[in-house]
Amino acid sequence: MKKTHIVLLLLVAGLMGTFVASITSTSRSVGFATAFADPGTEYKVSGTLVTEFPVEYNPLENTTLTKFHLQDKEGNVQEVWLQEAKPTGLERSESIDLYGKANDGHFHATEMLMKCPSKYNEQNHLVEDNA
Amino acid sequence: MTGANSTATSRYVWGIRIAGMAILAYVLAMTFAVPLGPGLVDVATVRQEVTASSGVFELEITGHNTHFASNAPLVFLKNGDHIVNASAIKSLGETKLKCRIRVGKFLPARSWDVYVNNGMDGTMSYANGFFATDVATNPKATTDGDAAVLDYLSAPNLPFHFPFQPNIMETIRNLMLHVPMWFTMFLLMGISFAQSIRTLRLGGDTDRDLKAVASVKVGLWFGVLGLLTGSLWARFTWGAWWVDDPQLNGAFVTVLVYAGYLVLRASIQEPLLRARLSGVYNLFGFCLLVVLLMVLPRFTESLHPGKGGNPAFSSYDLDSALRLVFYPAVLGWMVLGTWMYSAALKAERMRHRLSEARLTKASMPLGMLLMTPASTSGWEAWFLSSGKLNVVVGVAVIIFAGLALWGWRMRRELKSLSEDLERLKTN
Repeated sequence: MKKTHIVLLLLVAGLMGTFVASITSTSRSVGFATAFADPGTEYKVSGTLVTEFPVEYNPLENTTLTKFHLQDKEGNVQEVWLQEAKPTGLERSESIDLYGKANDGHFHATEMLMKCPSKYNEQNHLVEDNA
Repeated sequence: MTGANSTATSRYVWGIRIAGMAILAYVLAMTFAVPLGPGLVDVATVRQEVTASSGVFELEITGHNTHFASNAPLVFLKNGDHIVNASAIKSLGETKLKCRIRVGKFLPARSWDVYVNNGMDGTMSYANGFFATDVATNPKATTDGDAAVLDYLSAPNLPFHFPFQPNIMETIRNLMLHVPMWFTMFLLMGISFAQSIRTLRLGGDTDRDLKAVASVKVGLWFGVLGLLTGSLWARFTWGAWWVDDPQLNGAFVTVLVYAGYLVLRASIQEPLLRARLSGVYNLFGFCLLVVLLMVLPRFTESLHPGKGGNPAFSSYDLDSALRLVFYPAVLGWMVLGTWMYSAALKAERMRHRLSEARLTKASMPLGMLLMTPASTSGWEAWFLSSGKLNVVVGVAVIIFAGLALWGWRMRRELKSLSEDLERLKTN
C-alpha cells in the first residue's frame, strides 16, 4: 500500500464517520422549551405555521425580515423572526424546519426549510384541503 | 460504446437494449411535453379598507397554467364550515385575476383558505391564502357566504397532465430523472454484491471480481448524478443546496463507501488478494447501502418525500399520469445502466489483460467535489421562472452532461486499451 492510498482511505473513513454521526445527532430537532431555556445557542426547531396570527412581511421597511408564529411538536407556540424575505408558499407549507436561536422572547431564525408534499397526487390535494 | 463487441453480444441482449432506449426516448419526450395541471401560485391583498363596522379587501390571485380569461372563475374563502364569497371577479389574462372580499364587523377566524373554481381548471386552493388584518374575531360570528359553492368542487377538466403541487410545481418532472438514478445505482450495486459473493465462494475468481468493479464504477457514476440532481432540486423546493438530513447524508456516505472500494482496489497490486479483500469490503458496502438508504432514514425525521416513518417506495403516492411515465423511466434508466456496465466490464477485462502482461498500475477514479456557489438573484430567477420548469432543465443537463462525460471517457479508455493490447501483440 502506498502512503497516498492510506491517507485517502483514512479520509474516506473520517468523512463517513462524521456523516454517520450526524445522522443520529444533528438531524434531531428540539422544541421551543429547549431553545428558550438556552438562549443564544443554535438549535433546529420543527413545527407548523400557526394561522391564527398574521404572517408579517413588509419589504418597504425591511426586505429580510418575516415574522410569523410557529407551533412546535410539543404544542408550544412562539413568534419567529426569520431573517429572510417571505418564502413563497409559507402559508400552505406542510411543515417547517427552522435553524436559529432564541433571544428577547423571539426565535431568530437564519434559515428555513419547507417540507414538500410527499404524495404526488392531485386528488389527495383536493381532499386534504376540504377536510 | 457503439457495440464493437457485437459478435459476443447476442441478438437478444441487443433487443433489450434497443427496447430500453426506445422506452427512455418515450420517457424523456413525456417528461418535457406533458403539461402541468393548473394551480394557484400566489394570493396577495393589494388594497384594504377596514372601518369599525365592515371591511373590504381586494385580492390579486396568480395562477400557473390556469384558464381564468377563457373560463370565468368563481372565488370564495373557506374556514371550517364558514364560507365567504368574493365579488367583482375580474380576469386579467389567463393566469391573473382580481376580486373583492366584503366582511362584516366580526369574522369567526382571520386566516382563510382561498378557493378558485372554474369549468376547465377544476377546484384550486391556496391554504391560508387570505388573512383578514385588523378585523375583530368572534367564534360565534357567521358569514353570509353561500354554501352551494361547495357543490361545484371538481377535478380539472383537462387532457393528460401532471398534478400541480404547491412549491414543487413544474419540478415534479424530476421524478423521472432524479429518482431512477438511485434505482439504477441500487441495481448496479446489487449486481456487484452478487458478483463479490461468487468471487469469494470461488476463493478469489478474477473475472467475477472484474464484474464487481465494473458494476461499482458505473453505479458510482449514477450515485454522483443522483446527488447533483437532488441538490439542485432541493435548492429550489426546500430552500438549500444541502440539508443535514439522514436521507441525504446516507446517500453521500454510500457514495463515499463505494469510492473507498475503488481506492482500496487501487492500493493492492496482487490480483487474487485484491479480488478477495475488495470482495469482503463490497459485502459490507452493500449492507451499508441498504441500511443507510433504505432503513435508517425511515426511523428519523427527514425532509425527503417518502421518509420519516413512511415506507419508501410504496408511499410514492403517484398520480396515474405520473405512473405512466415513472415506471417506464425506472426500466429505461436501468437498461442504460446495465448497458454501460457491459462497456465498463469490457474495459476492465482489457485493463486486466494488459496489467497481467505488463503489471501496470490501475488508474485512480475521478474525484468529484460539491461546491456551494454564492447566491445571486439573476440566475436564481431563471430557475424559478415559469413554475420552476428550468430546474428540470438543469437536472436533465446534469444527467446528460454526466452520461456524455462517462461515454467520452469510456470511448477514450477502450480505444487506448485496445491500442495498447495491439502493440503488446505485435511486440
